[in-house]
Amino acid sequence: MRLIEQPYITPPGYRDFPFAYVYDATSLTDGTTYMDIQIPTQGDSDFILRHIAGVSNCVDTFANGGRWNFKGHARQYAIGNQSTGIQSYKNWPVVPEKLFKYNESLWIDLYTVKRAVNACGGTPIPYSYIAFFGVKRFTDNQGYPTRATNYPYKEKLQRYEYTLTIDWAHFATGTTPAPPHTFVQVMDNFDFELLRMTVAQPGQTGTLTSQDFAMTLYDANNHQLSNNPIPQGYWNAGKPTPSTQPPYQGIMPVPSLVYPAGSSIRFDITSLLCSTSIPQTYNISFEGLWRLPC
Amino acid sequence: MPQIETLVNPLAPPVYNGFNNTSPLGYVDVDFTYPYDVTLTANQFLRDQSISTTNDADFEWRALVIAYSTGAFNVRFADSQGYYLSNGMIVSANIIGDAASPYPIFPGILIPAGGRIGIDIQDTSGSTNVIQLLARGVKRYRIDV
Repeated sequence: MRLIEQPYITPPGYRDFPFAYVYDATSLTDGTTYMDIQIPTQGDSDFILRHIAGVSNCVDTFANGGRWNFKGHARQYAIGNQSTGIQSYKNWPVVPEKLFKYNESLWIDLYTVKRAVNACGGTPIPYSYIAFFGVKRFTDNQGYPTRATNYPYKEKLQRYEYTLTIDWAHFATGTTPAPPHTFVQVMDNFDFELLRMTVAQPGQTGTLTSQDFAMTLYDANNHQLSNNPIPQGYWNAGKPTPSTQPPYQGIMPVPSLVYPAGSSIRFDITSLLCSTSIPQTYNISFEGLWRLPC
Repeated sequence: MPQIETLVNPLAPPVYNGFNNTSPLGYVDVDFTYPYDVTLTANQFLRDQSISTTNDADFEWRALVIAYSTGAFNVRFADSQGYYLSNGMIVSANIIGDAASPYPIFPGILIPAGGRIGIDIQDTSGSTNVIQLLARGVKRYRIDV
């Protein structure tokens, strides 16, 4: 049977909301193997898993024994090698998507953990996160419209360019991380459909490839799109060079989200920078479509 | 433009937006990957190796990934009936890919439950070669209709 590329249809009576469950592996111990790591879902909806990003930031190289496995909703392995695992990747598509019902958990095995870090003297800053991207599936009477516009419109390409300056380090004092800082981009004129985001630093020829910060994005109703901050590379759709793809093949939000006129794109930034590296300036490009009244 | 909710992100690849269910009537397809791990000595040629599929469901093989290798090798695959999928050994460099852009097997090859994917594999690097291949596809479970 062919996988026909026709627009995805959410089952009647349901509403999909883009979401990522992010597993924080920063507290794991390097060199250790962890079996049956449970990542509980939030218990407010079903979850449809479509791709997994960042496993390669949490385990060692294949030659050094770094492997992984993951399981479906009934804790059955999705990969046939139950004893030694497989090579880790920056991005692992799940085709067809996997359904995790209300209150079920995601499960993974990590063999020979090695956390990816940003160097920072004697206290490196880990960015070992695994993001399970997909959608929350609410029933119609439980969810909320996130893509509807209540006037006739035509679409026009629009980008909001946000200049972000990070002038705080990851560690506030000692080894205590600093809290995230909140920023907003106001929707000044029309409804805006957000399709993707890219990040670059002024003067650079390609997109940002280092994990300098992590972000928690919100919809127009202030609902988080992830349970933990997501390192920028996982959702950054920019290319490092014209001929290379985004390292994590990231794009967010999927499906798209509409921010009505007068609302704002809220995003919380968690610094992953060393105190010797601040301040740094970035340009975040929110790419999408204006919905012009007609 | 009608006042309806958009259901997809047109800039995202189909897998992120989701594929509609294409399972045959009476079955449900579930994402699954069978790995094949082997360590070859220099120039070693192993014939009639196999990935054995489990007894719980048929497997439709849809893609191949060379997940890891420490050198070049040649490989040839056969289906569960022993029917070779090429008339000779395939140079590994011709089937490279990664998990997100694997080498496609199209149309998918159905391996029955408890069946096998046949593999002949030969090192051409002249050194010890640690290899992991991934057969990606779906388990096809029978369901009541």
